[in-house]
Amino acid sequence: MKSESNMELFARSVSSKQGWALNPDADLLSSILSGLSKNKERYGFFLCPCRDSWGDRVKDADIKCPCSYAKKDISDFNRCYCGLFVKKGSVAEDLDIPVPDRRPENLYPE
Amino acid sequence: MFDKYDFIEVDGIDTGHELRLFSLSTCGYCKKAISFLNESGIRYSHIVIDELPIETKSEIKGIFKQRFGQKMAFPTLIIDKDDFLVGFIKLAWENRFKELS
Repeated sequence: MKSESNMELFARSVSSKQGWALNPDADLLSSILSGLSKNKERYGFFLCPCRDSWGDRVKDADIKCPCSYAKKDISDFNRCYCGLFVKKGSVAEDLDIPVPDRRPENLYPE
Repeated sequence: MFDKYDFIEVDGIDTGHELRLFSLSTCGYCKKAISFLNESGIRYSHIVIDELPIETKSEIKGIFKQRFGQKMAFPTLIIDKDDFLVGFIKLAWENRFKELS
């Protein structure tokens, strides 16, 4: 399994490139990275750890991390759906709000 | 509603309400929900959706959609078959549990 430190490197690389930050809740961040690592191990790519999925690189292309919905979610709700990426400068109170799932329902498995 | 499925039974204080948690093994907010329930010391049951066979997962999601009119997201806590919480926002869960006690 890809180590969590490698996952954090991946996450930091993405957040740096996109102008985001990583979730400041260390325990939550660790859980999310662990989940991403597990999905990488079982499906072969970084599938969103908080969504039901096909486990298929093509069918789930929109929820490969960073997902297609992250930019708008971070703009509107300060965090992406799974909570990995957050708006820079966010503190815990900014992030304790629900994020509706933008992914169209018809893209999910039955 | 979900009686035929094998839930993990977590022992604890009986609130007089049936609490059923549906989670993904990879989801950070699901882990927060589990921690919240465990720290509360109350009895609940739990099923990890992504560790089920695909057919079983589909059945469960279908039952939820039929009952509540929306797709299942995670974590979902079903309360007494009539109500549910989706996602984990600590304040929302704390307020709901105050109503249950």
